[in-house]
Amino acid sequence: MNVNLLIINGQCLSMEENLIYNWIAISGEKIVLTGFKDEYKKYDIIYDTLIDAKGASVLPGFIDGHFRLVQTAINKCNVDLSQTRSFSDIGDLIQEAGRKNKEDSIHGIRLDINQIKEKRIPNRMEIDKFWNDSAVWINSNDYLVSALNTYGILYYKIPFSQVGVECDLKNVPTGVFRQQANALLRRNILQRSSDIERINALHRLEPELAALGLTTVCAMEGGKMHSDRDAEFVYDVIHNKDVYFDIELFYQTLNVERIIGMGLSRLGGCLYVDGTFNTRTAAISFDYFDSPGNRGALYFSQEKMNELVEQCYFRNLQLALYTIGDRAIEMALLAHEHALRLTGNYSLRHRLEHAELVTEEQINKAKEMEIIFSMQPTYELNWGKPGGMYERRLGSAYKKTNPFRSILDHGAIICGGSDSDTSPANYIASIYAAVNHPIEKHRVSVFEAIQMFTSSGAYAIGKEKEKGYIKNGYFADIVILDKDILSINEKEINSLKVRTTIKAGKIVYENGLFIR
Amino acid sequence: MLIINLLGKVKIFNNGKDYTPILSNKTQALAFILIMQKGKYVTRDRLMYYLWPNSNEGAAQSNLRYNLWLLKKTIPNDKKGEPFIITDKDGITLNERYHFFCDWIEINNFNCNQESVDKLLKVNTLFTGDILEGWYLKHCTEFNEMILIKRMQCEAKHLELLTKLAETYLKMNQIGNAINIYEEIQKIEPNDEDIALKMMKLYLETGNRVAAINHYKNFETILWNDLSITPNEELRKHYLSLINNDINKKGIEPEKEHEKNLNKCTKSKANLKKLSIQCYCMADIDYFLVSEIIEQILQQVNSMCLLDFNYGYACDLGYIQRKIIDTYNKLFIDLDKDTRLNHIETAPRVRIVQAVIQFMKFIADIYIIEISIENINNIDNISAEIIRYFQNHPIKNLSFIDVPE
Repeated sequence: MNVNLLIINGQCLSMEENLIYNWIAISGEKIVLTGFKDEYKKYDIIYDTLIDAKGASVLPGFIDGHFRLVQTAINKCNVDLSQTRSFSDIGDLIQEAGRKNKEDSIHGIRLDINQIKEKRIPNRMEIDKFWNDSAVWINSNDYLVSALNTYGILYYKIPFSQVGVECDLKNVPTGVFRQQANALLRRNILQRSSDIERINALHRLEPELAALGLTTVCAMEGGKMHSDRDAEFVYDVIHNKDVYFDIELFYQTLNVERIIGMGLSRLGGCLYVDGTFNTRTAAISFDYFDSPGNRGALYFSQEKMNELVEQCYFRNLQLALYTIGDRAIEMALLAHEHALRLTGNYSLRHRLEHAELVTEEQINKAKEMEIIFSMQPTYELNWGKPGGMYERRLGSAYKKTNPFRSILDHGAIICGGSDSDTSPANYIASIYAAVNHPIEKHRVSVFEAIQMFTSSGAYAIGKEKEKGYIKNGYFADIVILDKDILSINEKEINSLKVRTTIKAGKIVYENGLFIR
Repeated sequence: MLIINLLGKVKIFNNGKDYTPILSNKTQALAFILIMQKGKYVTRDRLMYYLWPNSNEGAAQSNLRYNLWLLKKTIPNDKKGEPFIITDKDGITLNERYHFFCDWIEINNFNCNQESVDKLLKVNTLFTGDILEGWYLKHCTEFNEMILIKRMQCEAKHLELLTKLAETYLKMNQIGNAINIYEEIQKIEPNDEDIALKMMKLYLETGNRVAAINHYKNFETILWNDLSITPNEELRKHYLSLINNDINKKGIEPEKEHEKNLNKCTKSKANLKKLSIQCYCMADIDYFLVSEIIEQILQQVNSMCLLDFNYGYACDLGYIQRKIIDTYNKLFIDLDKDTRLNHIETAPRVRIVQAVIQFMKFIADIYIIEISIENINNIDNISAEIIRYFQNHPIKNLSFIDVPE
């Protein structure tokens, strides 16, 4: 028997309970044979390539359920200001970027104004002092405030007539933009990226993703504070097969007609029902611990939410809603109940993205309505530890965030995602985070954590019959690790490395090298 | 004649000769400052402060002298022999008698309230971009700020002009032209709810209800994307009334419209067309009878009426009667609309039955429907249940002939 690739001596997790193969034969794009021990010898297999897994884990390729693909790619070229603590820090990073590339405009992103000593965004004159040889744009981490240097204000199309253009006493713009002016400026700047820049950025990102073991990505594109062109671009990339991995497009728009017109089967992604814990805008049912009287914000009325959800049910579209706080989750669930009453349509696998503060009762309701939870375990690594952001914002309720165990015990499905580029993509770290949740009762088993990024990930995009498992006839999307994930200490999962990534039968990453 | 375009890509030319590449940035900037201070005497000190703020006095003076010399040398006198600029030892001024054209001066001197449509349109063509697009002079803070202020003023002027033009078109009852201008305004003011409402009403006045709905949907998306808010109550009410057909294609309430007999697809009860439907049954084929009824209705109705029927229900009906999908999609193509109805592979029975009921109610609101059924004993079970529903919940204008209860 001729095959292209034979993997032997592996702990090959089929993702069916207790079924671990030891070898896999791949022909073309698919897995053609699987088996135990060295039974492959019986088949008289002639292979082009042999991989000896040396007893390490062989898993289905990772499926990232929540990833801002275009922005992650483009932001790799931007200046990350998230760790700056003062104008001086900002200036250092801007100057460094300027010196590296004198001609290009500089985009400083993720500035946390609360963390800055000056407690505000720098204005035009201040940024001019950092850099005035090219345009500089600084954007806050909640996207709500922007600032430009003088070069930038003359370089970009500025919506002067809009509310939010800050001016000094002489009525000259200070370079700081808020409200409508900021939204339009942001849109103008993002839309300047050409598709060539986008595809180049994606190609630069590919080796990094291959090294993480990623084979399918749910790309959350367009919509609020982002450019719809990103979504249209990803749509083209999918059709042209420009990248090694598969992309499932989640177009974040309210325009149902556009979705239908493009022939897409789903709507949403980060379709914001509420905000974030960090900015205290996630809608919760109690006061923020560090902001008494504030319970966050809902960006939809219940009526509007019902209308949108109803349309998706009627038009057979999967819907993914961004819901972080329990009040936002409640609104989404009420809308689903309303639409279900009207249609009786259970078949669409709707999703709640993030769902960080979900109650037991809500988990139950969601399970009954067959709604999937799309969650990000690394949030717990970033924010879930005692004294972390969750505790600072929510007080003792931080112990209730991301209750993976309870969701699975209710029989609901969790698909895992990175939320790149809000949080860095790393699937080993994600599995580690789900297994080692800071709150013990929310922890899941290693197998369950892997499911989130493989079989459950496939289910959440309706592809469980072609990927997410190691099974004959399935796509040969495979990750080989350097050790056996099931036998090492759970605390050491984070030290595991991806050795090889195979996408549809082709090795795309091996021992540190990306192979196009 | 010398022509200087300051909006969009800067260009200085005379009788086909382009001076822009000959003049350095600072020389051009000198000319622009004088143009923007037209009628004023600008001191040499002021000019040096604008263009060489970081140079020592001697160097700045020398630079200014050289650039003034270059400007005078390059830009020829006009036909009457007048020079472009007049200089003395303390300052410079733009020669008011010099005959030339500058887009910015035209715009600046223009009074929107006193001009004809032709003149408004002509000036509108001058807005080809921002003032001094792509310009930035390093360290020249005053100069850069002057550009900023002029750009702000220019945008305000453009909005004023467009608003005046749209209002004038409305007075002249040229709705189509007014819509085009409001579209331009909406591009500058994408979150302006008053403009959005005005445009929806104008589309309705032209009978283009679909465009009015589409405008709302696009506006709603932009507003939500930019500001995370939904349109205000007034706008939303207007949209809902469009969707629910309280207001019809010509923006007139249905009863009034009937009086004027403007719309063939009227909802007035006085003059409803009768649809005579004759159908056949097949016992073993689910939905056969209702599918037949729908097919015959579609043959007889004015398909434009379907635009007002809920898309979701139409999708579900498409599962049992392909013709509804084809009819809808042909309508969308005729209306040059991107939307298409998709065939669905499966749908729960409850949805199909609901869609049939809603469809019959919808049609019975526009037509009188009389249905006679052959070989009723062979009716399929689901159709039988639906007919029974109509018998137990009678709908005005819908009747079954000789169908036993």
